[in-house]
Amino acid sequence: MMEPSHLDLATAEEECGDSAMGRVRRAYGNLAPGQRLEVVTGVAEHLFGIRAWSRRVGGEVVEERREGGRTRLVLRRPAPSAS
Amino acid sequence: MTEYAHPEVLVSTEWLTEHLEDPAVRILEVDWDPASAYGLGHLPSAALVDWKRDINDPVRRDILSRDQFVSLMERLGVTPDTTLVLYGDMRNWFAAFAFWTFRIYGHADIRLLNGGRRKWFEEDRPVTETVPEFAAASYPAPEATTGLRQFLPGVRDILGRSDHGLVDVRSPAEFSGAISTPPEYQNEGAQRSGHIPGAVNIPWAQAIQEDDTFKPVDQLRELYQSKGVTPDKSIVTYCRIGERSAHTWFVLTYLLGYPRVANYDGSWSEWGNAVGVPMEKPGAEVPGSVPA
Repeated sequence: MMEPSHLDLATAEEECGDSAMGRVRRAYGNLAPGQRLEVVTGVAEHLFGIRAWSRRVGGEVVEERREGGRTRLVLRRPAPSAS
Repeated sequence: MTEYAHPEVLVSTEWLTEHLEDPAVRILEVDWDPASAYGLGHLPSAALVDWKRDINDPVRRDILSRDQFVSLMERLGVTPDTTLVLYGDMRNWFAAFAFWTFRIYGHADIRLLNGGRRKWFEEDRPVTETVPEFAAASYPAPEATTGLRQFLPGVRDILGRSDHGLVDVRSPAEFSGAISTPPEYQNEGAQRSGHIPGAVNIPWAQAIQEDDTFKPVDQLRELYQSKGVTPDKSIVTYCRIGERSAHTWFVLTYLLGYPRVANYDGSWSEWGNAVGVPMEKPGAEVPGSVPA
């Protein structure tokens, strides 16, 4: 299985760049169906937003693990369903 | 530890939890990107204020007009007696900008949620996707206060004056001119990078703690006074579009009690595009100079 793309939100919103959720949306948008995105953050607000947004867009949270005060969350972009 | 100069402008997450249903309180989430914040979940009974749509003039570059402010308050069911509690995305920057704007239009009782969304979610307090509805209210047109805002000519007039101070609250990389504008904010771009001559760099985030609540007053006083930003001077804060600097304007005005603080909301996106204004960029080569 391919290694997931990695996004660390540690410095998000420090320098008036893209918001944490904006960075997640952009990185997720670059995934091909079936690819995964690993997001690491220590901010509960980010986690809430990622989970809620993922539900909206049909993404799958395939892994969530707390490590040393931060959470590692893996999103998978599903393959389009056959109609 | 001594208290903030105006502690009444801050509310804690505990206080707000007890006032979620208080009819005298209107909770407003002020977002730059509502789809990534309010739209995914917000405090119960909080109404959305969309910074781009509601706090800015839709055509010219300016804050909302007095009439637009009145319409906004009426739509939100706010009267001049309502206690407004503001919080929002991007770590309360745009909530602070709205606080500054509403103060310009004279609303009396405005408070900021100390710690904002981050602290609320960290403490696992209640969140909803339900959008509240409020009966429209009547809000008489107020007089605007002008001393809280600074414009480009006013900033140019104070350059080099020892009785004034300029605080650039952007990151050190923006202040030095190493970076100008992140690519995702193309409409905030500037032709030049650097800073306004004489400004001191005190990034906005130095005023807050890890949980986004404000630092104790003694630490804040040390932070600003050690850089020459003292209450005997008239202070102007700026950043790129005036929202981070509204956060620092709030700190200097209400937490430290400085008597004369104005926010230059034109900020670097105006100054860095203006023709002929002076600017500083450490290490930049001056045309006509001979390299050492």
